[in-house]
Amino acid sequence: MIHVENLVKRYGSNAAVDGVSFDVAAGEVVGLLGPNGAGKSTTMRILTGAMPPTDGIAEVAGHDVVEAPLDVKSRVGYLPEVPPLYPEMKVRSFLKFVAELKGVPRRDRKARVESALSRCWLEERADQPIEQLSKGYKQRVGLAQAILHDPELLILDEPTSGLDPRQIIEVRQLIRDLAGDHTVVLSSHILSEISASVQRVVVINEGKVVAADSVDELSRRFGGGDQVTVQVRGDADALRRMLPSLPGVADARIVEDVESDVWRCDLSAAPDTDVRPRVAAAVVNAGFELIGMTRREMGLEEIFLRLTDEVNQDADAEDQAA
Amino acid sequence: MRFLRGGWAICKRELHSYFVSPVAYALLAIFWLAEGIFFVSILGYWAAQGRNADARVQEFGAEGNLLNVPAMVAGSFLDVTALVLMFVVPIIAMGLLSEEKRRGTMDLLLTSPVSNAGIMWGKFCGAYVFLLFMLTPPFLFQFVMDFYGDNEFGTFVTGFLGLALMSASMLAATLWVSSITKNQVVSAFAGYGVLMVFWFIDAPANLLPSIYQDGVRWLSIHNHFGDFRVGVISGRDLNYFVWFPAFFLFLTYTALESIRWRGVRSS
Ligand SMILES: Nc1ncnc2c1ncn2[C@@H]1O[C@H](COP(=O)(O)OP(=O)(O)OP(=O)(O)O)[C@@H](O)[C@H]1O
Ligand SMILES: [Mg+2]
Repeated sequence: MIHVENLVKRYGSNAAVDGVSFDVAAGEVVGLLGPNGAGKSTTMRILTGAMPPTDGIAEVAGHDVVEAPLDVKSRVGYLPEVPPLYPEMKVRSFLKFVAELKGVPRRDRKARVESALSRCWLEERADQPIEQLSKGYKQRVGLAQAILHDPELLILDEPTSGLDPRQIIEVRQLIRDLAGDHTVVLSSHILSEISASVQRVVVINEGKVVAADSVDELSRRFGGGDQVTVQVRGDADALRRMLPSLPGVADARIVEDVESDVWRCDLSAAPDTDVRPRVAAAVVNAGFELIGMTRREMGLEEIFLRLTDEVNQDADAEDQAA
Repeated sequence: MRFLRGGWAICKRELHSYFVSPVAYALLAIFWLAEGIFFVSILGYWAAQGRNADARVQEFGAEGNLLNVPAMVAGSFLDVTALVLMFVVPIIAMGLLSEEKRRGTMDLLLTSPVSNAGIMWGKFCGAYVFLLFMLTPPFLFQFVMDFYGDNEFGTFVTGFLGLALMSASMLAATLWVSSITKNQVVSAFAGYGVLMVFWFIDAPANLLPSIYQDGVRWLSIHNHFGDFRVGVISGRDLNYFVWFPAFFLFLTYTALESIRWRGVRSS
């Protein structure tokens, strides 16, 4: 459905997108992930035909965004970072306007508007001015305008940013509904926010793709081992000597716990090993009191930070070499 | 109509947005009130002058120099209205494109099957219909003079035709200003700036070398209104009122092309 190859967008000498390539198959739900300024919005805007790339290829359903913008536009529904709404208009008349603008044939307009209203749970607010709606409802109107002309592909730029937790859940549910019969690309800078909704993630940093894979595969590949936290009573120096030397423990940090005399040890385990039994046995055998132990999988956020950090460090190294 | 694709939808939306906007209602109310006051004062003034003239005629028995009160009223009222329009049009046009950029709705237009000419035309058309609506009651004021048994209907018709043409020119210029700004207030003040330049550009004409004088005078908007207000429609003026808006609509089109090419900065 989407084919992007060596996409470049420069603003002056500064490249917002710098050689991005990826593909999205029909029916897939893909997340574009990256920190602020990574180039997610720029990539998405190019895909919607809102602006041309400086270089490279961007195709939607086999149509080039520059050569055949109308073919692209008729297939793409776009929700920008800021939903494009006219605050003074009522929801239904706004959607009617969008239907006309998108070239929906006159006889289908009413039906399309009503169907978008009901799919986005907006029927009760249909005759309210948009400026009176809450942020979550505005986002739904934004989604409604994106699906109005029945596009195959939905491009949603940070659809849940700035919403409260309940609204996030609602909008996420809505996107999951829409994903049933649309190809969806959505962006975020928080992996956990989209990991539930997407099958695959393309991670972008500083205009370049740094990883592209399923969420599970990413955590397997970059996740490393678990994080284990152990609380122990006893001599800190002895702990400092013992814990890092245990097989399977990659890294250990020992800090004083809130309880006096108890030490909290944050351990990183080697990949694919459960170090808990070994740690427990070692601690007890050495005569410490084991107070507690918890295990946590490496969070998606950490994976993400690692990925983007790696790139930054590489870049720094290059800068220094130059 | 592929050239103007999307224009009609944009025009209707724009027009509709004026009629739900408190600013537009306030503007309408102030404009009509001010026009009413001007008309009544002007009518009063020339009626008094007319009576004086009549009295002199009676006294001295002079012939043929009775004051044409309706023509005087038409002339003064049209002049005032032209000046008022210079202050009204930038307010009507200020948000046309700058607000689309600020609100992010430009993205909606850019990702719809809409041409730049369509956007330009739709915006112009919506605002222009609103302007004509604004001008309708002042046009009807003249029928007050029918009660006095004497009117200059023809002068009013050509005069308001001139006003309509002139406001199209002003609108085109301020639409262009709106296309290169991202803030309505800036757009309004810059719009005043541009209109004032084209209003007063002929003031220093006498100081220029004579070969430039005609050209500079030709550029001035109000120079082309003078004939309309005395009931004369000249090719020279019509020419100006075609080329002036055409030039600014072309600039607007170019600004839209550049927006489409570079993209609006996402805020
Ligand atoms: N119109 C513009 N002119 C100049 N630079 C721009 C413009 N739009 C974006 N940029 C720059 O391009 C880079 C990428 O921006 P982009 O908006 O694509 O990032 P993003 O990944 O969407 O970030 P965010 O998470 O903040 O939305 C940024 O450095 C930004 O400052
Ligand atoms: Mg963005």
